[in-house]
Amino acid sequence: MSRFWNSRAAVVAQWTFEKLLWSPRTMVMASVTLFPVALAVIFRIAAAVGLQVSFTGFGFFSVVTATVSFPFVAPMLALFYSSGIVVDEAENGTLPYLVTRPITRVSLLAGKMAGSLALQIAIFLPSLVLCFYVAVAPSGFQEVGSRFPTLALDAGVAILGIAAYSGIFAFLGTALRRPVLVGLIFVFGWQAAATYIPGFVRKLTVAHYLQSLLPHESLQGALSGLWGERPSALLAVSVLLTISLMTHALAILAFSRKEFAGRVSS
Amino acid sequence: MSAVELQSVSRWYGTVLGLSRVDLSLGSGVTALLGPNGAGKSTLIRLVSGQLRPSSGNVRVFGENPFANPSVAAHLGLVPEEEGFPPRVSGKDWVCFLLRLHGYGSTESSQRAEHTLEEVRLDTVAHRPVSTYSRGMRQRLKLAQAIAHHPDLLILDEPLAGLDPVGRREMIDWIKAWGNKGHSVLVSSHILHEVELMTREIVLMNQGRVLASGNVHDIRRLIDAHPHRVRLSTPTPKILAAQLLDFPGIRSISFSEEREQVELETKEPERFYELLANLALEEHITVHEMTSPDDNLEAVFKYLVEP
Repeated sequence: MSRFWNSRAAVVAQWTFEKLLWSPRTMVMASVTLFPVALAVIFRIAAAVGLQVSFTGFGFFSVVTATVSFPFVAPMLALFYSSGIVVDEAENGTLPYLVTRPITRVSLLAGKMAGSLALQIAIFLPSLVLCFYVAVAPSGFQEVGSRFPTLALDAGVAILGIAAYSGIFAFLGTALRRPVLVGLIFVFGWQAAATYIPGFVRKLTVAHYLQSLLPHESLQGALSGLWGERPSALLAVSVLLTISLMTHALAILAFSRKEFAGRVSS
Repeated sequence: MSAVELQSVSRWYGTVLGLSRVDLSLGSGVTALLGPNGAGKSTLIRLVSGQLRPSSGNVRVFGENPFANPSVAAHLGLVPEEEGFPPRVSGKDWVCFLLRLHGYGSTESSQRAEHTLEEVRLDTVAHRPVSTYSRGMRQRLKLAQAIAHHPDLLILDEPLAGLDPVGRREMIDWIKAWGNKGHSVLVSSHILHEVELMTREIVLMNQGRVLASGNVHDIRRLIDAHPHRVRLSTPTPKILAAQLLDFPGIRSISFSEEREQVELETKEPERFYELLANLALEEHITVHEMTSPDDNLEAVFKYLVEP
């Protein structure tokens, strides 16, 4: 374990978290994560002014979570943070400082990935909770209390999903020169298209396993036609954990073998 | 044991040859890698600092393979050629963070960073974002992060690039002082007269090969055996050219009133520079700028490799 994680990796993780937290990217991504909250606010306003709404507060939260937060916000967060963990250092010209320090490449990248992942979770979860309270709280404390376990499960699924997406994009970021483009194609091309392809293909997406874990029963019934056969919770968790571990390990392997030639001018 | 040993090291970038069968052994003191752009200096530095692997041959730093090797990196200090720093970070934070990667605790890192920044005269701006630093300050910050942990081998890739005359002088003094302490210093440059001020030991490189290594004065003599070109910027090129015609060491001279420039060739550069200084003082001739294209190593290597 100390090969992956030690005090120097923790220093890198803390540094990465702090530097990313105050970056312009975080301003943009915070705005993106607030989009479901904005939708919840619009929903409440519509309900308050007497417009006919076809959802309960919790029902609305379920729809937003399943159609916006998980398939759009979570992968966007992972894509724009994790794909840049090596590319950003290369573009800033700071890689030579890092790779010539007495820290193993494994610990260096593990620290960077941990800092980045912690920030993604720290941005996503407050948005999820805020969306829940805006949508559900007006229905009363009892409703909030009874739905709280669902929110907690959503949070757990979110962490699993972000970790899986982060691993994929961290690997793309260490192996490719233009990871964002490939990542966008993966999220909005491959995953979006695979959802509509019947049979085995949809099992090759992260979204398939995430959707099956969402603890919103009414939603599962309504969208079961679209999502197809659901894997068991155990299988879904196992697959997501495996994807996360494998892709993070691949990213570390790619980074460990990588050479840094700079501008190769001389 | 030598600090750095290269045995028949070659490095290819695809089909481009970066370094060709280089043998080299460096001990303590300052050694300069001298060569024009594209000579292979930065490739050699990246191999020694463990950023690249050789395509063939062996690189050893303190007896070990340096590629991605933390136990070698613990003894290295690198001033990279790249002009990069993380955005929105202060000089002190950057040095502190890098020190912590050497295993120092936060208090000791902070103290060492403060001390080193004071040493390179950045203490007054230590808390300012690096983005507000001048080029010279950034270069000194690069030096600070490289020496803060007291490395046994200091590697500097073109450390004088972009510095003003005062900054160059200071950087040269620091490099010499570091070498005089008994550490090993490897510094790359393409400016011969700057290298002469730092060390006598040079490794002459061109097109990925080591052409010669040894004493810088031998190389200087080689250069001085050939006509030395000098270009002068002056508001009175005609008057200056007329004065210089009397100097017997001049082989040819031309001037342009339009460009306010005099260009000449001499086989006695040292005597010529002395004469020019006297002319400037006694005849009140203004010279704005003096450049010697021959000090550019491209010209030197032409002398060395062409028949």
